[in-house]
Amino acid sequence: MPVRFVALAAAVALTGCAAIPHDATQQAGVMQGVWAIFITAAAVVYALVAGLIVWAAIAYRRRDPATVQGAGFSQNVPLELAWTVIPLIVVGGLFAVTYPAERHVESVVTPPAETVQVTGFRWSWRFTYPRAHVTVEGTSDKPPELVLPVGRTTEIRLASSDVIHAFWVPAFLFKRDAIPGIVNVYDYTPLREGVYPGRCAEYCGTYHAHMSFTVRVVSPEEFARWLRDHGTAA
Amino acid sequence: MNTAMRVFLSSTAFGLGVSALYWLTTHENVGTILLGLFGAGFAFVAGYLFVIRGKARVDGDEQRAPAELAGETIGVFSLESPWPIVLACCTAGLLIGVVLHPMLAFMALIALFVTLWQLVRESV
Amino acid sequence: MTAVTAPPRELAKSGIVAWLVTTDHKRIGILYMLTSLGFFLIAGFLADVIRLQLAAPQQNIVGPAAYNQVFTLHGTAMIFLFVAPFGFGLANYLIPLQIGAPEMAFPRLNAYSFWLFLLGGLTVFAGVVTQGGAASAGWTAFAPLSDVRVSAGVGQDLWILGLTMTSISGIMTAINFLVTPIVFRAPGMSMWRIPIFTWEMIATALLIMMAFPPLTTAFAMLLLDRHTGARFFDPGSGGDPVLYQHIFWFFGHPEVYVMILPFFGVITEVVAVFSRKPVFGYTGLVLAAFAIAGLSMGVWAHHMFTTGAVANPFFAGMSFLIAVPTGIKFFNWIATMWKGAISFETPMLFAIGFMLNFLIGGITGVMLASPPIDYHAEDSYFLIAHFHYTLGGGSMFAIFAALYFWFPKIWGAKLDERLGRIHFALMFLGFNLAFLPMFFLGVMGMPRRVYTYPAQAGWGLLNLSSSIGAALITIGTAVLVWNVIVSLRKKEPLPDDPWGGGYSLEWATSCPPPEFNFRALPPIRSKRPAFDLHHPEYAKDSQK
Repeated sequence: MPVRFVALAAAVALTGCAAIPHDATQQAGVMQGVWAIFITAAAVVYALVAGLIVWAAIAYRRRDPATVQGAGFSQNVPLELAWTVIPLIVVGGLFAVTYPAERHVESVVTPPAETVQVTGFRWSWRFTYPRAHVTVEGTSDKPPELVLPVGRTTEIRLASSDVIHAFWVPAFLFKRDAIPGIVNVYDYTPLREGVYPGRCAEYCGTYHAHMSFTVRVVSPEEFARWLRDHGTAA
Repeated sequence: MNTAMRVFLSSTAFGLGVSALYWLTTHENVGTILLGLFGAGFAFVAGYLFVIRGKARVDGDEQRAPAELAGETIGVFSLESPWPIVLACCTAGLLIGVVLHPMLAFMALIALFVTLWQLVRESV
Repeated sequence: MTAVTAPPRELAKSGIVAWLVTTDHKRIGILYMLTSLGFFLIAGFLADVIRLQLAAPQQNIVGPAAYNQVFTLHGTAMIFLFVAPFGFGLANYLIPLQIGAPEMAFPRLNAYSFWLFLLGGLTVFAGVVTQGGAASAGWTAFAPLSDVRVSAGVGQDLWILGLTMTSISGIMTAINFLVTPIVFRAPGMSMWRIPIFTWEMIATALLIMMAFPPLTTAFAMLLLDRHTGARFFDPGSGGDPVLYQHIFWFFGHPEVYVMILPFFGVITEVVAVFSRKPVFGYTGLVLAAFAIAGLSMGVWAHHMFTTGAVANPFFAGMSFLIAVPTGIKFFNWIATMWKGAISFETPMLFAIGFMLNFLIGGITGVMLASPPIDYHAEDSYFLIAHFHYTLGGGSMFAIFAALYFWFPKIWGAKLDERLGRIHFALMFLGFNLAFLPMFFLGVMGMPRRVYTYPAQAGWGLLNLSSSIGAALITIGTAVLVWNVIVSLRKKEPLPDDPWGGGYSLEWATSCPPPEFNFRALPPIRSKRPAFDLHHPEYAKDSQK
């Protein structure tokens, strides 16, 4: 029975992985690796424990309605130590997976190939490319577009001008809070050209649901052209 | 009572320990203070239980005492009192008043003192 | 219990006045539980409004302003006014019974804390009738969203004030939960014989005493910001919005365990009684409760991984560690069932439902404790699914288990088994139909607290499934209400131990118990005094 549960859990884990967006940035690839390990571990643990619960309920159902007491045992120290120490080792392993991945995702390249200042406000975003003097600003009806060069590391400098927002690109498996008074800095290294939807993830008031944007990843040449066009327009 | 003291002592040790660990790994003030207060708060209770050890006798710690003794040292219980609900209304009035209407707060404060006085009178 | 004396009643013996002036722990427990169930019905209705609005993309059944109030009140009521207070009510009723005491240590304080809780809940909801409506900053009320310049309405003030009252009330009731089992135990009821539920309440009370004062502090600072221009959380004047999150979550995470530890206790009792076995690993369960309580004080910033302002590895490591004592509890429950003689009355069905659901909540909690996963899952529907599996599939299922289990003790009548099974089936099916899809919605990119979503996002089908699940849960709740009404009508005399295997002292007194709880206490020589009394032939097993 537990074997069947493990198989079922593995199937669930695979569908879970499939539902996760593909790695559109180099950082997202690292994080997707963490997701895969955790989902697999979660599925196996769930299958084992849930399997034991269901198994115990079926195997030890009361057969004789007159039974007043089942087996009398209520203690087993080696067993209890085992189910303390083994989970401890498992979570130690999970920490070992987590820590380097987090270091990698959080690391910032200096100097970056490109820098974008992202500012959240109620209820849209402003993207400023300081070197090219380009600014793109949206409204809740007309979401703005963030343009990034593929294969290059872009530094995002994230801030807010009113309440807390969160800048979330699901395809990049990453979000960060835009907090007034703080500039949060992190890197994107997009690996694939394309258009990705993005949203505000931190509740910020009435039209939070409309605070969306898109990210368009383009070739470096097209990116340079785009900057030139918008630079003159501004 | 020894078990109770151990509960508070280990909570104290844990709170102070985590506070120290947190400070060493993060050097962040808010959490260190909050965790430190967590340890210190329990140290207060543990210290009190330590001071009264030996003097305080609790029925439950007599492992083989006959059950008929239950309640002998516990005393008198009232089944009713009109004052708790009044006190709750005063507290609510005071809190709402402080923010929204000073006159309400003033009246609630006076009523609060009267109610507390009644509670003290009733209990002694 | 002849030694306990009561002064004569002067005010009323029955009727409404008797309930208004009562200081009897059983009546206060009932008041707590009824009030919290009332708030549960309201919050459940609000959940239905949410699911109706989200059942299909681009709907506008309620507008954004109303929707934001609805989810704020739903979260607030479920957390502050239902799950935690139901645990308080159950503890008020049970702690003196389980330790063989005639009363709580401070009966008047107990009554005070109930009334303040009720007034606090009403104050929160009073915002609905004010100009500008109820609070709409979410149950977390993060600054600066909750600041007066953004949320100017008096509804936000009433929300803060009401929850401050429930917070004070919680501290008062925690004093009772701590002092009563330490001081009021009956002769023979040593600390290491008190039932697990009471142990869990001791750990819960310690958490409340540490966690609720910071909440009160955070709310006081919010009010000072709103009304005196204190600017604690205003970055423009040297304040810091992250400070609010630190203090709020320093309360908020222990609060999560205030909402689950009592119900770990409930599940332990129910599983042992219906498996007809002594609780397996009593000492381990007690130590695990304290390990969970202690660790939960040091994990608050795992709610803040995406702020970029906290030391993520420290909090990730501490959060992972909580999985270990929680795992101990699961394995001890399974070992309690092992080689037992399990029967499946409604409380046991809900207990098994609890285990299967909470397991999902716990495991996804470990996932969320890993920052690289949290960066995607935080504030998405993945998070919503996770905590509904812990608090809905977990605590709420345990509340129903407790309701069916102790209903005969409290009202002297058993709830109907057939309706109970229907209730359980609807709940289990509805709950998983409603919340399992949310994991996938979150991974696909649906953020929380949105009143609508675009059709091209492709989330319609999963949301519809969620809404159908919510409808099943609603029908299940209606079955429960019907069950209570029907069952109360056909009262018949019950034995002291209607389940036939109750082991803690509440099963050694009548249903419902008399004033001051016991006419005569049985000798307490083990962890199972009631079982020893009813089944002396197995008493030697209890001594182990």
